[in-house]
Amino acid sequence: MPSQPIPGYSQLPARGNPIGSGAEGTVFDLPSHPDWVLKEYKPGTIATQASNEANNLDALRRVFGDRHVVQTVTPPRRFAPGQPVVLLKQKVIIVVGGEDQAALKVIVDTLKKNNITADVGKNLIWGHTGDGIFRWIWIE
Amino acid sequence: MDFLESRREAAERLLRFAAAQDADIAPFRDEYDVFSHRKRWIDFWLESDAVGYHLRGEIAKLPIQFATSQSSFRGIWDEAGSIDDLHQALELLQSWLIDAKEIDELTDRRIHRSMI
Repeated sequence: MPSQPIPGYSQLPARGNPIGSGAEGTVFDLPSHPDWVLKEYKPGTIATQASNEANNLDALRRVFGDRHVVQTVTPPRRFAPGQPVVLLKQKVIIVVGGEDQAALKVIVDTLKKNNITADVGKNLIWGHTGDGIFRWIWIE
Repeated sequence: MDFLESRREAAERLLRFAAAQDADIAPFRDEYDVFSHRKRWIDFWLESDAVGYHLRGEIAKLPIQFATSQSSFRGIWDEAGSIDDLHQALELLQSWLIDAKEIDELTDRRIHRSMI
């Protein structure tokens, strides 16, 4: 399967439909990069927020590995004043039903063992990325 | 208390609260403390001064917030947030699972994140 080009920040790809929303901002499809999404933080968000979120995901990645943590394209440490704060992330397709509860227990136990605080209920999704493999994935 | 313990405790409390209102929600609860009915799921956990929830499943109508995203809509919704107490948790469970309402018709809640 040919690999898709990875989007970048120097020339942001055109935004598609909004497909997600949260306290921090809105997530958009990227028609030119179907395996990726753009999270656009709300106006007024601190310029380092995208970098902070990417760092938090990297911390989870060190414990759970790539399979269980959404990939990001490393953002600028700080966005310029007046520029929207954005983060390019791998797209996660939600799967409903069939959640692997034994695997969830392993994740919860791993958090405890490593003394990590993470919001399991809100930030861990049962789904898949472009590879189509169902699994638990940290999205924030 | 870890997430799974908190989820179990929330389910136990919700069952007791529902029973006190003459509502039996036990048939919807599975062995992992997730409530489900007709391709819709919801679970709850205890937060410091609230009740967390995660609902997901099939919907027919795209919520107003995503009205322009019809071409991306697969008939699936995933949402997490919080509510004040067990009373609101029972209302949300009833409207989502039992009454099978659409997203814009669900009871009041604080939505932390949502995805189509």
